[in-house]
Amino acid sequence: MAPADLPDRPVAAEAAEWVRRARAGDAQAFAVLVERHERMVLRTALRLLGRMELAQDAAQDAFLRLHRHLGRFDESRELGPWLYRVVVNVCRDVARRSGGARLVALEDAGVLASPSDGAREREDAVALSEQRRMVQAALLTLPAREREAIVLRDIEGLPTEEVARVLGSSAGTVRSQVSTARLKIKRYVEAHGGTRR
Amino acid sequence: MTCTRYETSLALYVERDLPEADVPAVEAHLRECATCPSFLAELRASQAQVKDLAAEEIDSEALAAMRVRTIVAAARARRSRGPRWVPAWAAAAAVIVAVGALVWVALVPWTDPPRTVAVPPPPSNAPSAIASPLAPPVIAPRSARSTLPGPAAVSPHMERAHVRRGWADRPSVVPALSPDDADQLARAVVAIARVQRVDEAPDEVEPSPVPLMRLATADPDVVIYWQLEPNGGN
Repeated sequence: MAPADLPDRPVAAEAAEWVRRARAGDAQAFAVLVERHERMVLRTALRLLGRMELAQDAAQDAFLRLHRHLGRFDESRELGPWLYRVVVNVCRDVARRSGGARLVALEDAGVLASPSDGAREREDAVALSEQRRMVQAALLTLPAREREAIVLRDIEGLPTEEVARVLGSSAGTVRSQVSTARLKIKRYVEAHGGTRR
Repeated sequence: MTCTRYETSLALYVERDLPEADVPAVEAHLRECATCPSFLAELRASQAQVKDLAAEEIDSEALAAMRVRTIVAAARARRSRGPRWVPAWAAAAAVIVAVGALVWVALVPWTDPPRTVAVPPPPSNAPSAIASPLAPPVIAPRSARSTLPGPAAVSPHMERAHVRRGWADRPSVVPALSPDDADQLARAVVAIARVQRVDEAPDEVEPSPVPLMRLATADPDVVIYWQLEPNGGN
């Protein structure tokens, strides 16, 4: 299914109103749209690219594309799936522009919540941080399409059919990509310290 | 040892992505197989780690930096897109005014002694002896301005194309412009459309017998000296 074939769905009237106002040139309304979706967009870009500065650029580019295309955006549709599709495309562009250089493991990804006072909690926080770093590194070893599929399906939690619409492919293809990616990550994690839980 | 042919199915089954029709067969195999249940448990563990990434907080400073950059860039884009029609109208108006001035100067007979319209510090290299009632604007690109001679700044083609007063005296055939002249003329039109100011004559400057206007344009490389000869160049 082509990406443009995302089905119409009813969305909250309030969300549609923000889109309408942003389209009319209301800068405040556009800022609200950015604030509502910034975590989702930046998190997705970060998982796909692995580096915060690249992810920030990609997220900014995705929102600017939204800004440019607001005039053609159908406010009866949900903004989220559209933004997912845009951020995936932007990340592909960023990866291409970086000359196909191997994306490195996450060095400056999101920070954990404030560490607690206890030594045991601090140890746990460090271990959890290491574990997340390892999984992110495993993600970056995947081919782009498999990485996109597993990020959207397992981290962003989109249903398989939704992932297929965002990626412009079929549910069967997504299932194949996701299962392959899960098996690769399992092997990577086991080879780099095993599972923690 | 795992049943390799079940690995792919188990990787879907672990997250309930396996098509319903395939589930009974996989569950039956899990009941019978000695190794696949532990493989499934390992998959569950690695999947838990993958899904845990969703719980990781994004740095609020990184978020704020991205947000500010985005909103500022969007505002800049809106400003640059918004008033696009204004320069177009301004350019059109400037061209209309320029053409009107041409027609007026060409048709209205000069009876009064020439008055100084505007006298900038006359450029030493400005054209001073163009033999036409209305000399065509002389474009003086910065790079060429220092070597631009007066009469020679207007090519023979442009000389022939000068505007005479009165319809009867107009040349019946407009001579073709050379590529250089055409380019110069095109730059003049663009520059006229972008005229930013007309310099006033300083008081201490000797009034010039020939009206001369200096038009500063948005293009720093283009300054137009417009010389009017009210006596028709005779």
